[in-house]
Amino acid sequence: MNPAVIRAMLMLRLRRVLSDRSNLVWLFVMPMVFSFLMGQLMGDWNSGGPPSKPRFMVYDLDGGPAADALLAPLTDNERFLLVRADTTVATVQARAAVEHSRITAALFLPSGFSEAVAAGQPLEIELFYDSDRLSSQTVRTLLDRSLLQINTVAMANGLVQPPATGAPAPGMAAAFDEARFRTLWDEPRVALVGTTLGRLQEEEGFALTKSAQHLGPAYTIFFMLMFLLLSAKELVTERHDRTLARLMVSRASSVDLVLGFFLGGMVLGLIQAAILLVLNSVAFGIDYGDAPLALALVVLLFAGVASAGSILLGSLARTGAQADGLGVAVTMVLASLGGLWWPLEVVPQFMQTLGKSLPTGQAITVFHDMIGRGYGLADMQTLFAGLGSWFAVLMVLAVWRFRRLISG
Amino acid sequence: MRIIALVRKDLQRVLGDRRALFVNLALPLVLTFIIGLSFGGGFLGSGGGISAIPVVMVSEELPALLTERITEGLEESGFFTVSWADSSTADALVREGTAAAAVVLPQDLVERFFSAENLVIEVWKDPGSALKAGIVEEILRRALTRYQAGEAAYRALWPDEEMAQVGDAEARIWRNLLDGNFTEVWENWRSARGDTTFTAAAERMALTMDRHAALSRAMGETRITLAVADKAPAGQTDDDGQVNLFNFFLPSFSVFFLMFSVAGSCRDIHRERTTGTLQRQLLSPLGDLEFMLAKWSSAVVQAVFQLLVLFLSGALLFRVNLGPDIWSLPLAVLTCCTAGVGVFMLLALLSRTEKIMDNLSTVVVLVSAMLGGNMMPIDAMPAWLRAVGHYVFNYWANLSFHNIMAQDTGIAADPQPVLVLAVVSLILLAVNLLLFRSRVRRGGLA
Repeated sequence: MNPAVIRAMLMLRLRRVLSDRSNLVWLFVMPMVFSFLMGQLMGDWNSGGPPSKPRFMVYDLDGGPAADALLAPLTDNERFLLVRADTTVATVQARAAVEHSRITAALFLPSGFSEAVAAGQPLEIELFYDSDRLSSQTVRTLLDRSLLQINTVAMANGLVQPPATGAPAPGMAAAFDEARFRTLWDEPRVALVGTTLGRLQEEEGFALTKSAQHLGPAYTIFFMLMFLLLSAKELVTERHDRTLARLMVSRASSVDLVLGFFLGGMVLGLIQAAILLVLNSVAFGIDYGDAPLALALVVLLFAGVASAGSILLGSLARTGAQADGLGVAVTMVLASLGGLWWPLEVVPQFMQTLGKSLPTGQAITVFHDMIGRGYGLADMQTLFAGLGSWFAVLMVLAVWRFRRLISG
Repeated sequence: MRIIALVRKDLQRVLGDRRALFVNLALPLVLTFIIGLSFGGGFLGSGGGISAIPVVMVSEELPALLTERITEGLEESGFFTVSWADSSTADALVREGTAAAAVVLPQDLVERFFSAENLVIEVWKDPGSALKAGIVEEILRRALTRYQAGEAAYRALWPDEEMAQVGDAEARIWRNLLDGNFTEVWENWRSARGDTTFTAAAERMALTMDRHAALSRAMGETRITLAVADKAPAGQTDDDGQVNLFNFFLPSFSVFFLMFSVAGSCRDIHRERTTGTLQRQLLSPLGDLEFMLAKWSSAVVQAVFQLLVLFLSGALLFRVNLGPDIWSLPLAVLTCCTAGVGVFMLLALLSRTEKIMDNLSTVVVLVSAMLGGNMMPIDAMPAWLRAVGHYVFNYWANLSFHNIMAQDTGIAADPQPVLVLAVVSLILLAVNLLLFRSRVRRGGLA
């Protein structure tokens, strides 16, 4: 082994890549653009949705106290903007507005709504909504709850025995204390409290409920893999230009060449990951957990996997175009199966198992476990063993293929 | 004839690169298949997506009759797989992700339920399963809301019957009476008949049951009803009422990879320039407009071929719908390809070198894919991104394929997307011809 050759190859690779400004776009700019835009698209999985508030139109021809009471819990909501119109439109128009996402939902309150509520008369009100939109689901949930309150009050008043008819019959009450009802409604005796367990469970809505916590690491992994696999064509070019052959007739052995290529890719991957992780932390407030050693190891192992994969790909491809095509194909398939595009929890169990057996799935699961569960090295031994195995297998194959290429 | 000869020459070169062909044709199908496995659709049925959510119930002393009933009730919904555990085991299962959530019922639930004590049901959520745990919490919250409304009404109607009056002895009786399976519960009731505490409890229960029955009956008679009309299904449903998700995914991935291959075709101008063949062709009797039209045509033919192969394969493999008539899809394919070639030809002519074109086109492909709805439905985007999305050609391409394949609506019913693509194609073709002529005259392609 000749350290001077390895060092020279490493420095040459770094100089080549970093001197080309367009590479900087792929290394750093595009991953951040993707994280930002996809974060805008995905919003907050638990409570946010897209940051802009879609309109919830209420065509209120009643304008009475019951309408005010019905809509009171829906004002000032973080997910939608309630707009009350005292005119109406055709239901077809409202439906079309919902269908084309111009508004998130439309509610029609007919005139006489408040009178019907006061008199306990049956009445139907119409809601057009979009079950695919979080804001629209929220509108429906809040309306259901508000209407339940109104209906319960009306129903309870119906159980009050009229005065001067003697003692209440079984199942009837002497009076209905509405003030008490409202107090109990606001502070129910039986309550539900949700807590996300994990390292920061006291912080409401923390951890992976924010899409950025998934997207930041996911696109770091994705672009590391893509950049290194697409740089496989450099190896093809070196073969075609006979620069490898020239190095071989000098003092370099095949091991030197493999190590030179491998370390070049690995250092690039590490630089890329370090900068992207810091940028994500600063720009999107991503928290990587309390295990810096685990963070360093997952980045190191994944950079190793991607770099070894790049050498293998460069040794297998005959032309630069082939290396490019295969690099894109492998990156896309590993990203989609490994849960870089969507979290693995939304796919069936067998797809989760498959995803977690791949290096992409293992790496992103390490990030999830560090961020959400607060795991350290000891808790994620299986995942690290998996990544280590991928690295070993790819490295052996890359060395074997590369040596055959050199000797052949 | 000269244009046809040039187009044939370009196509022969493309067909010679089998691996590039494989990537352009096979990768969209592979990714579509992966999405089908993940989310279901077509011949894969509707079994994809979120599977039954593992939930752990925690209750130290709940009678067996109630645990069985709760388990059956939750599992009948098909949303959950239920297991019971003590609190420390449940905590560990949720923290390690084996269970998406744990529902922790209060200790001495039965006794405390019949008293006026406040009760808190806790939901412990897995930090790694935000979506599944959120579903568990939401379903429980909805179910509990109705109970809370009923209890609030009950206590406001009959404030005299404060449950705090239930003594410890009576509370214990309730717990003992409900302990065991159905037979044991019945035997408990039979054996307790002579007990005075039991008699008092039974009288109280009769009164309470009358009130509960009246309340329950009244709550069933809803006065104001909410008639809810959901947005129409995003796509045409089959006989089982299922939407074939491949009708969305395949066009989406096809347009995405089409952009890569079209960019590659347009980049060929720079390759020919670098190798000198472009200059040679321009020195021949061939006019610069003829050359440009030939390049444009061969890129369009390649793109049309790619999309048609993908859609026909999709029809065979994933039962993708090819539209309500025979001309809507081909017309949409053609306009999509001409518009796409126009965009990337423009990029090629604006780029000085192949390297610049390479980087520029990849950025344009990825950003357009995101903005135009190839990575996520455009309806799900924030308003400002939706507005920007209208300015990328693939938005209109996606819309036209969505109408035809997912909605089964022909072009005649909604011609706008195809018309937009056609107009964009014509404008860009004219701009590209002028730009090419200008670059040739200025020596920019020498």
